[in-house]
Amino acid sequence: MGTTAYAEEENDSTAKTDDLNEVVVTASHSASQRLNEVQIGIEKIDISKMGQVPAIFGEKDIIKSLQMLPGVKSDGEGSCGFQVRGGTSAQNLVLVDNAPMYNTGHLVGLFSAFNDEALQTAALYKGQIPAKFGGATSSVLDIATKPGNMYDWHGGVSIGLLASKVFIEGPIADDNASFLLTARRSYMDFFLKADPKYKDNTLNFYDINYRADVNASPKSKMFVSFYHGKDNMAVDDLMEMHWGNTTLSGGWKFTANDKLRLNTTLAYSYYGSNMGYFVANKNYVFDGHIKQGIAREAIDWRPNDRHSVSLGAEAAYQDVLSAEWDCMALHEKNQRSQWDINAWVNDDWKVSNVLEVSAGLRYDHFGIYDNLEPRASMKVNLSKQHCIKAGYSRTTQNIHAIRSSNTSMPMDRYTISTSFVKPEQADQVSLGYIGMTKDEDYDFSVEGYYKWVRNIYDYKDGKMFSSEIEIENLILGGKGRAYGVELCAHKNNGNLTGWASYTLSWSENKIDGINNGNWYTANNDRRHDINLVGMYKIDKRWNASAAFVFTSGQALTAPSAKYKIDGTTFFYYNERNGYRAPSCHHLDLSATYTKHTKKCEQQWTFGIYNIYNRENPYVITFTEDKGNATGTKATQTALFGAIPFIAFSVKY
Amino acid sequence: MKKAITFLSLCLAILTSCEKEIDIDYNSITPLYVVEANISEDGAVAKLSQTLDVIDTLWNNNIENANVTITGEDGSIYILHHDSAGIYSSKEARGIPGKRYTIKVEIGDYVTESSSVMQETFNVSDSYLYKIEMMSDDEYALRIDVEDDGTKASYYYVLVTRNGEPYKWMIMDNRGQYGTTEIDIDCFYDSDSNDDEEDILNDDDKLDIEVRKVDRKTYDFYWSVAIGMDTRSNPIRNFTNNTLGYFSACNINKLPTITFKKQEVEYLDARNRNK
Repeated sequence: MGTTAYAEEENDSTAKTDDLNEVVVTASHSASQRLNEVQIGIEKIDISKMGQVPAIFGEKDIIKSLQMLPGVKSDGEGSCGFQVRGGTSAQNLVLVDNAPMYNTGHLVGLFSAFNDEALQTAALYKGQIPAKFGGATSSVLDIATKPGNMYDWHGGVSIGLLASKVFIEGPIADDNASFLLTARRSYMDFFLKADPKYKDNTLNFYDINYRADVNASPKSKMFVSFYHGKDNMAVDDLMEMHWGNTTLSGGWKFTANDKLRLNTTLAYSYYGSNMGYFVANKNYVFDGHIKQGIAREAIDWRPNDRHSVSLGAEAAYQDVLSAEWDCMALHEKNQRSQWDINAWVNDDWKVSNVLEVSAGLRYDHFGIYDNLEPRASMKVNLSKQHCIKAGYSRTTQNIHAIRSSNTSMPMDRYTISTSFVKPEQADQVSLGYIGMTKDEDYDFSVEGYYKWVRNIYDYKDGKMFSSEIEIENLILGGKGRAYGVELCAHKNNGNLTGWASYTLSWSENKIDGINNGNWYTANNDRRHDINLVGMYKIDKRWNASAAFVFTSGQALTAPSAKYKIDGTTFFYYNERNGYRAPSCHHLDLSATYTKHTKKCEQQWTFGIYNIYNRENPYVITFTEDKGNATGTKATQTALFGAIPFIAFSVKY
Repeated sequence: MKKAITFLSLCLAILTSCEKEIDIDYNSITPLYVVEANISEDGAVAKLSQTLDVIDTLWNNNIENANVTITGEDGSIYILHHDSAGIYSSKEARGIPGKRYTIKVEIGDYVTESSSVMQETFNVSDSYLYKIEMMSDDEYALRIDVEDDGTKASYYYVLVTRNGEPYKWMIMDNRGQYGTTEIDIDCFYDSDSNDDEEDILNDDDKLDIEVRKVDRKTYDFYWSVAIGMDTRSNPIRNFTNNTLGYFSACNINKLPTITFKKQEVEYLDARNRNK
């Protein structure tokens, strides 16, 4: 996951023009926009509506909103990791203003790393990924932050159950330059200090976004964007864990004429994790990081009204510290670095009023590996309201995350492609239909996909992240496949809006040395996903919303036999992921009261997550229990019951 | 204000994180054989059994009709005789440091083998109980100091019995330790919220400690079986033919019995200061 992407500005819902005129970036994605996209499998997030969807702790969260879309699942209940079409969250490329980010969750995924006050647009590419993107085999989430207001000063405060945020924006020079600064911090550790048992513990996160924009001339715009976020956990002076992302990116957009535009980008990205364990006069310290420096040039060219060509090149230097540890007097380190060179060309071709094609090719050079990645998408317009889309893409990924669990954790090991660890590569085909009513009140879509992946990696049996320093000794390689169908229906207009989605999917892996080398259900395989979201505008001050989520049971590895070693009972696992955990479902409700005064907007949000207190499985463990009739106990731990929330915000 | 904050924390705790027992319809498999075998300077012992179904409660799965032999690379052959339930032993089979030994188990037509290299002798300089403060409660642990210059990789296995019954075990290597390899075994957490009542030591409990120096193959088996409970994976195979268990040619040190007296256990820092 090493290369950057260019955040393309979107036209509004009116007809595309021949010229590369400056367009107003809108945050909405209407029915007609969904229909008009040539690329299949693209989801645009409406940032303005994001806050209306009830979410745990009342936090507006782009990732939690994404997880309500067809084909997108969470890593687990309450988690901000997201999985797309059978892939893991480690197979996604997440870009913020062209800089990649990793492990994009605070507090082990309960909050995402993204402050909604800083965001402008977000697009998720889950089907055919455009040739300008590379470095991930499952999806690309492309996020652009918001420029500050070039005319007026604004600010605001939001206070939530567990975290608060502030923002301020304004002109640096009227009409020519602006800035936006946002900050957020949690305060669970303040509550802990009230209990003598936990007062010396630490549990917090914070993040800061800063962006400055300059319009040097009508043809020349520049921006610089900065993000820093960190999580801190500590138990007395016995154990501590820190992780976080820092990104810095700058861009220069030059519009040469009506048909030619150039985008120059420089970006730096850092993700690091650190763990320390100090008990009984022994110390263990673990470190890891991913550092990248990226230079990119992209050209958009419209030679005529039928073709829109994008081409570009990019060079990224990647430095991955898989692990560096100090175990008492032992110091070991596993670090790799490499240049990742890419070039691409893509043409959006309007063949006729019936047929539109987007075709491209991406070239990736990484060390000893050269890969060509064709990308193609096609749209056949059956009428103004109905179309069929199809797509194919090949993608390559050179930064690999090796995990012990579904959820991204600070102790994940990362590595880059080497002579032993080959680049992960995926081919995906998809076919779909989109239709809408004439007034755009309703739109419907159905999309099927099939994906096959080579060179996926997992830990060998009996190995974990700390077993050995050389990661190549810990992992086995194999292949995977995923397929499914996604259905979605939107109601777009009126006091009641929302959507319903259903996904039926399969995900399987085959790795020699695991499960006797047979195909087995992947850790993240879940057969059915249902999302129902409704938002109702009661009056000009009150809005209400509800969200129902259902996922069928997660794949589960359960024992098939037990035995004793030196008097201790252990379990034998005959089949990886041969069982199913209980299903997970919850109903969340919220209401928002908004009051506008001359000076400000005040908003109260009330709600409840999981109103019927369903105990959804977070983890299932198996233990020997001599008091149990079977001698074995399976225990389900649920993380969240019914959680009421309240939040207040004021914006000036 | 403080009461409100404490109450809020309590509310959050009540509303989150709960456990319950669930029913699983476990699959059955053809039982696998399990071998736990050692050869040392004092003789050889092998315990043979089979796996049980997950819902079985009767541990009467010992194997009584096997042929067990150990062969040394010097050509020595030892037959282990059936002693008691699933136990086969030979006092004549004594391992010589540096030599490789191979065990062969035949149960009818079923044959399984493993081999291990006999480890050098070693000294244990100290063993004691201590406690450390952990979030306002005390955690009791056992420390064993093994003399080891750390110049080559070494692996140690510790088995602790309490009043004659298995209590704890630990597998460890000597990475990062030079001069003395300190082995720490967590015993129990002295807290009202401790769920592991079986772990709690009572005054006058007798702890017998056996320390074995084992080879890499045995270490890999024990390490992988320990983490397998968390990773839901099976241990690295030590035997052929899909047999579970281990064969270890090891040197064994049996340490003096420790009688647990709660009031006499010192904090580790205080103990080190008083030394």
